[in-house]
Amino acid sequence: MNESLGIYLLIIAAGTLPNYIWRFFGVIFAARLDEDSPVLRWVNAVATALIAALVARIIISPAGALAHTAISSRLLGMAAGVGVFWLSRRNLGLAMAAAVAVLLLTQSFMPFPSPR
Amino acid sequence: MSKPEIQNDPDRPLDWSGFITGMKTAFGVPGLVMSGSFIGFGALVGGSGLDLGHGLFMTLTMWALPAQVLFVQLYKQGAPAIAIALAVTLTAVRLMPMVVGLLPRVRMTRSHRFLEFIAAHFIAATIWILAFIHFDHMDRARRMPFILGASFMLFSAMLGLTAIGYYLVHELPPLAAAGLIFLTPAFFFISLIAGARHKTDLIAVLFGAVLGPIVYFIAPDFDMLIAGLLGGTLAFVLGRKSEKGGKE
Repeated sequence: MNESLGIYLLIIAAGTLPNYIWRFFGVIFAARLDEDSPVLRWVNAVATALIAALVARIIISPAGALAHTAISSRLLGMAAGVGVFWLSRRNLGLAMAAAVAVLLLTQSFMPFPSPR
Repeated sequence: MSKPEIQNDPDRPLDWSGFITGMKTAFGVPGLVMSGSFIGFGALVGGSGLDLGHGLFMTLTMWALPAQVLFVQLYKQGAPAIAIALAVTLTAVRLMPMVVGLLPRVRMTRSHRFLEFIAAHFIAATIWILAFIHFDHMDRARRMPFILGASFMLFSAMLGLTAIGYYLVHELPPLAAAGLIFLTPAFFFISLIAGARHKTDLIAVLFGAVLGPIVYFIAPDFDMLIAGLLGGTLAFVLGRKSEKGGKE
């Protein structure tokens, strides 16, 4: 089978369906679920930890050009983003800009090998 | 200042002027932040060796950035389909309370279930925030069209931006390309902290970030799944304990 076509099928089976099913349940169960129930709070905590693990994974072994930056730059960028988020009274756009700016600034003082 | 009366009567027909309002609302700060993160997603897809078509197909059929990025990352790691599906579904459970929270405020007596299944496909963090801001001063009959209008605008824009990110990552100097890919993890991490409503959520961020890399060395295919379940459960238990302790 064509490899690219296989990836589309994988996206449907392991991406689209396991993702949409919860929206489907949401329509079915609307008005019957309390957002602050213990089960939903546990689910939220699991999803939060999972996404935090995903972020850690991307920071430790990133894809493409980001892999050629120093891990110290990536960590500093992340810290700057969180810091600016608090200092700017929760301005998400400014915080993202600060994270990228610090990554690029700290990295531009270091050697940067070409990815190709 | 007099507040205009809000019509909350569910028996009226849908008021489609809300569609235009929704489209306009898409051009706000939440939409701007979303744009940055989808350029980042396109860049990530480009950097991971997948086709642009795969990235667009994911944005089209999944419409949930954490699940999309997770898919790309696990695919790149070579994880088996079952591990990807399980991890994706765990990040997607949080969409259910969003749909459950929004639909009762939208539902009309005569509206079709079909429209709700369409609207549900678009309900994710950004639409949730937009609805949260605007629903309180909007007639009930305009809300479903509002969601569809904002979604239509954001959906078209994000498909375009996924493609732009994909091409930019190959055209830009490597350092700038690295900055684009960095948008996604930065967005997620700051959003996690921004969205934390309870102490449990912050503990979960900490546990997930620490456990993830540790578990990777033990079970590389199921690292995020295990870190999520273990870290989330621990955070849930600790969070409940500290809340109970605080009340007494």
